[in-house]
Amino acid sequence: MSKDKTVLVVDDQPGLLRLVRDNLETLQFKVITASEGNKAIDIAENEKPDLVILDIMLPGQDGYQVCKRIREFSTVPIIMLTARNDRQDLVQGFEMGADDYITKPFSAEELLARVKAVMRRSEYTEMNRYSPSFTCGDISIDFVRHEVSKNGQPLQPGLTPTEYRLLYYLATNASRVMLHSDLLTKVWGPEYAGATDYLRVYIRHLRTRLEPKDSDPIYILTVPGVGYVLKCPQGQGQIVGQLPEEV
Amino acid sequence: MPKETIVVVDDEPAARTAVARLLQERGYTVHALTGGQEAIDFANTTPFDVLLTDFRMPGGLDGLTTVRAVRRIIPQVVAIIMTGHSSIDLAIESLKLGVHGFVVKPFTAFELIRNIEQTIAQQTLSRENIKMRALVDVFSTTEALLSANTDAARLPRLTLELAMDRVSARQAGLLLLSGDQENQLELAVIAQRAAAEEDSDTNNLLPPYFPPVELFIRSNSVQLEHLRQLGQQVLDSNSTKLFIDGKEVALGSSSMVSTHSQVTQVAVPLMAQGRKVGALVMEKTGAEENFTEVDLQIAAILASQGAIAIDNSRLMHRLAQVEALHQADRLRSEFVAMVSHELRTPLTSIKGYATTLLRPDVQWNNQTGTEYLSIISEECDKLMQLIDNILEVSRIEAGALRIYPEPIQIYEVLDRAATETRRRSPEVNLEVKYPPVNEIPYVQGDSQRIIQVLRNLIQNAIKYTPQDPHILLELSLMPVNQVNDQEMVQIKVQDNGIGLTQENKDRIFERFYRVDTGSARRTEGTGLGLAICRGIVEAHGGRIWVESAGRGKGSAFYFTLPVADISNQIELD
Repeated sequence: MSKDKTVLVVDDQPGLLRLVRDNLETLQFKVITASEGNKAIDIAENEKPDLVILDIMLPGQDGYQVCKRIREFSTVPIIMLTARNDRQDLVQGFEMGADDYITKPFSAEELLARVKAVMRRSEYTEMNRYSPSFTCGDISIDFVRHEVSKNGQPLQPGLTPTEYRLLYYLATNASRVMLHSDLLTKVWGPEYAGATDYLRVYIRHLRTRLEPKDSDPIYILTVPGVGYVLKCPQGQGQIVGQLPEEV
Repeated sequence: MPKETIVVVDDEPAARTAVARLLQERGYTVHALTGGQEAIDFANTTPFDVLLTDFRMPGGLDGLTTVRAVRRIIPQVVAIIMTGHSSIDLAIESLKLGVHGFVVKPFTAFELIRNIEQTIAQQTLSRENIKMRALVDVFSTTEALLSANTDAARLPRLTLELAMDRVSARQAGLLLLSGDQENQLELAVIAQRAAAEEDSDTNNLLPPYFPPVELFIRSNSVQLEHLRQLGQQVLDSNSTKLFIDGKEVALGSSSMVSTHSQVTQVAVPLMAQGRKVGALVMEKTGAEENFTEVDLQIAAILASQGAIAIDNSRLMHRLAQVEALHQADRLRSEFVAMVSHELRTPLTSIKGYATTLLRPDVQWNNQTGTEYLSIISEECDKLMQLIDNILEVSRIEAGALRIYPEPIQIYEVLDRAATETRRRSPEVNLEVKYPPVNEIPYVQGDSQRIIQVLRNLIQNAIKYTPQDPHILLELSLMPVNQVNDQEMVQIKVQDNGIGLTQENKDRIFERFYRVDTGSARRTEGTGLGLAICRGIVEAHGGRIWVESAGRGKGSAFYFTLPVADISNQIELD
């Protein structure tokens, strides 16, 4: 899985950089390190890593801003490294487009498990014989290419891995109300089942990308206290063809 | 509206009766008197609104004299003289002398009534006008003065100054509800004025003087209690009250003008936004003119302005206190957050490397294993150091830092620090300079702690001098401080390192502040060292500061320590 995959690790502490690199290299990841935000943004742009692990507390710079800047041109999965356990900080990280987080101090297992999970969620799978497609009003999804289009135009930049994943589960259950905990478990994992605030942030991201007017959504609807549902016009919302094995 | 009370004065009985009846028929209350003196006596017992007097009254006081005398007793009386043709010029002159109008004989009933009514109306209007202007003037002056002054201590005195300036009171006191004891009026300021000259016509009041409140309280406890009671009464009823000889008198009643009174007091409540603030009590003695309506209104304005200003300044003071508490709270939360973050840093390495070594799926070679274990050990030390420093800083913050100062030979301390450094970092070029030993006084200091400071400063100097470090440790004697007469010594630790920017210099003694060198931040050091140095130096009664010409130009840290006073020990030798 990790052959030829590149990971960019950004942290100001050399001790931590070595720790993460040594562990990732045992899984055949190629590791590039940076200890400063601007350098990290350059590397992300030029080397196009497959994963970014980013410390939120960088000296003289806001890790969140670095995350936001990378998001401007890339949908690369981003894991936040944070020493603060504050809910607010994590929500803010998600606001900026991070896909997941690891709190310091962490064990080697936690690190590797999280990296694997995030990579898996964003990986392509093999092409299927059929080309499944999905239409819902202005929105259409190509499940193989992981491409989402609005009004016939593919979204540029595309959805981030987590955004796509969330949309996937809403779409494959179109017109059915999905519970908060269900979505959270499917998109992030069972330990996130209660993190309704993260879910809210990502629903908001999706609405901004997909809805004609995100303050007045017509596709991704809220069912208060229960969950969310993707509503499609009459006769639409079915999946034609067979879905790929994994998301 | 009830018609006015008119006193008709004419020595000629027929005229007097005719005019009186004329007026009575029109609904006025009339008193007919035969002469000026009678009118004056009458005025002393009974107030009235209009004085209608003949101009010439041979055999007694003339009209003008009567008018002036009555006006001294009843200042607001409307005075009209009845005059014959021959005296018109004089009548006109008399308008300048206190008479408000005149009517020329012979006159019809209509003319008389109209004249009286017009004159009354004119006077009322003009009086209102003057009053308004005076009040507006008082209002704007006091508002300007009081709102410009937020010093809570000055406001009561200022309010009283303004009051005494406008109202000719003999004594005035401002009482305020004390903050701690609810509903207890305390005397804040007392003002007194000497008796005016006998027949001074001038409107200039003698300036008041302000006896010290504590003295007044001690020598006038009965009076103080009386003032308190008056103040409490008006506060409770939220209304201005007039007291003559201690008894309450209805405002506007006839007894307001009694001259037999010993002491007339006016008490005005001070209220702001429905909150009770205090009371203003003003006092006149019988020999002077009584309090006029205008006086009362001025007092009311001053009282309300004063109350608002005092209340505002109290609120602002309380707000500042709350702000300070919030600030302290914020700083504490910040500190806790920073500490939590700082502690996690070494822990991340420790846990990370330990669990890495424990991975079942990887076989680490010996060298790597040993390296990881060394890192773990170092990080444990750093953690220990960090915890110690944090505790030290907490102690300093709480003012609980214990130092044990005694007379020491400071140059020995410098030598010890230098020796230690040379042993630990032999590559560092360290120079120690001090005056001849017999010129160096004993210093009152805790040598362990001073070594701690030196160690810290020297380590910083080495850390921030990447190449060829040259460090100078210099002791100098300072001239005696002019202010507190304390002799100090000064120690300088100078390096030729990366220097400091202005921002660095401003913040360098802050907890957790670390100078950003631009490249990857050094992880040694906790950012607490200088905060601790400052705590130690200040606990000794000294000062610590830094000077640097800028980036790349090195830095010099200075701190001072007090010279020991061993005069009482010399005999022991």
